[in-house]
Amino acid sequence: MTPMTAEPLLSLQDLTVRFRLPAGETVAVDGVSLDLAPGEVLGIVGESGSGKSQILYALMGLLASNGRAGGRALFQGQDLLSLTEAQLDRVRGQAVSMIFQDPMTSLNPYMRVVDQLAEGLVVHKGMSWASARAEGVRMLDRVRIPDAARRARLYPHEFSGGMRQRVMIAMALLARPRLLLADEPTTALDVTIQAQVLDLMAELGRETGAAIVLVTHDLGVVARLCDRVAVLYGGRVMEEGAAEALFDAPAHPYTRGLLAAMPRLETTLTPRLGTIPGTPRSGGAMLAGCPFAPRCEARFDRCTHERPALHPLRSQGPGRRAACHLSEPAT
Amino acid sequence: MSLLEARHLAVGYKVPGPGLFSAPRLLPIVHDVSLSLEAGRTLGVVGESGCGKSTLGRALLRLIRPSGGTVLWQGEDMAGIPDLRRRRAEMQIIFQDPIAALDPRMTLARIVSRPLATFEPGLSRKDARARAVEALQQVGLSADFADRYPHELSGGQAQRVGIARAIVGRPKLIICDEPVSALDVSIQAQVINLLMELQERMGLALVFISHNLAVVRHISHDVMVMCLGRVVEQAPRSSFYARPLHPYSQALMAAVPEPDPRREKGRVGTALQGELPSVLKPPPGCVFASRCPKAADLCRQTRPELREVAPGRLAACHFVEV
Repeated sequence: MTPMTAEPLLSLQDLTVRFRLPAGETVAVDGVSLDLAPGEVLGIVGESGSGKSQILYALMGLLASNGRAGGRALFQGQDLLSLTEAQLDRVRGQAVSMIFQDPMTSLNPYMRVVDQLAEGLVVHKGMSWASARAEGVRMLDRVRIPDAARRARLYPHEFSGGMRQRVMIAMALLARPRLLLADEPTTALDVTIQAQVLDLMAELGRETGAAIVLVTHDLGVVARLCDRVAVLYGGRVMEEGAAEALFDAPAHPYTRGLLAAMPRLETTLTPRLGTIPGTPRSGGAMLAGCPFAPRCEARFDRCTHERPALHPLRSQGPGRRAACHLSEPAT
Repeated sequence: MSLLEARHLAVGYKVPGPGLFSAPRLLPIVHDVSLSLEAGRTLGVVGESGCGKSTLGRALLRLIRPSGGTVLWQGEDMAGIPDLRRRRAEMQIIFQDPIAALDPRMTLARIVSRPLATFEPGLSRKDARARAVEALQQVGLSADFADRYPHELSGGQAQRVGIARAIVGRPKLIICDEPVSALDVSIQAQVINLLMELQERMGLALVFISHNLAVVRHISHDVMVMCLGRVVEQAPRSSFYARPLHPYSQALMAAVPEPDPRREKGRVGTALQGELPSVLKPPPGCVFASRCPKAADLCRQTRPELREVAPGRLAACHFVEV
């Protein structure tokens, strides 16, 4: 694990994302505060509607037109939420890159792969097309596209799903960003291909020193790639900490429920999987209490009308925090 | 006599021939699958996209006409069953995308009771509705769901409705084609538990098709691993998960990420290399040879037959170590 330095690369401070809908306002991200150290890999894990992807969209200025971000998102000390479109463009092309779940819809179907790779270098770094293309081919080779020089001249539809995702990673890392945002990058892939892509991200992250924020619904993917984990529910962080510490002793009833609901390969088989009653919360009005309270088997009075603050779990080492009245230190 | 038996089942799809005027040719998708399934048991069929597992599921119900081999339903050749449509009350299927599988213009009571019009045409509307309500209750949806529409449902509830529709005709077998893949983890567990409860209550046989080895482990009694249209391993659950014998099964198992950082950090860098061959150009030898760490010349040239390598365990590998 990367030690937390004094200066985080990225610092989310009370980040909120709201959407205006005909029926009223819905809160997708509700006061998320997280720090990311340079070179660190942070996993944000949650079910559908938890707001996990909207955090990344807010950072990249990609929210839908009825969406609005609040709070602060300091990247190298600069608040991404207050940048003009032109300033944001410079950050997006160079210091921060993003990869998406579906590489096919993120690549231009009418453009040769090598030209899509080179474009960013020409626009942002002022390279010539010839040297940018050469750099693109080198990067394709680096992400293990077999026969890269020939394949670079093909179009995206001529690549398999796994290869397309590797093209996306190549494109994202070409500009040597300090921060890579990955939104469910392996969800559409078969497990063997997923393993290849995760290996590649781990290797290239280490090599380039880029920090990674990985958004996923899969606790297994988080366990493979991430140094630190934040569990999101109803737009709020339920708990966070170093991956080993969090999986060893999950503090929040939601995390415990998720882990019990996951079928495993190596544990003793139980006649039934653990379940969490009800369905995941998705957006909605601002809540007074804990968003997980309606599904929580440990809930008591305070949970429905008093929001538990994210507090340190001192017995579990530095950086471990949870938002549950049950684990709050006695006052 | 087994409830369901397949002998050397093969399925192909017609694709255009090489030239503009050439006759269409048959592209083989599933090769030589044999299996048998008893009441109250679950066969897990696992493999990656394009391995033919969904095609196999449909062919077992004769929703696709096989290009070779036979399927026996309670000992009777399915190709010869008169009025198979009505007999399908006994054998049902549920799908991956639960919302797409429901007609948006019908109430849930109508959706669930619809199969009864074919299976039990004499049934009155009132009785059919009562059966639908009963089926909805069996999957954990209260009677007031009967008059709702699909768009009012969450993904998990929609999959429950799909299951209610499958059990309304009191089937003996349900083919489950990736039924939990589109669901959130907490909902996935609810649906898996429900299928297991229904199996115990109704004595159902299940064919559970999935890409997820951990889910298959939980629900199946026996496991079949497919790769590029062929069965590469077939075994009882406990021995399979204790020690998969085919290198492809082993690779799949190692690739599944588990919520255990210590195990997972040790697996970084162990992913399979090489590319999956195309269904359009299957290799002459073993289907896994291009990615197998143990592959020798023999594997690239000669296809290994599926054979019994230990009591009750089948594997298709030249170098299998028992």
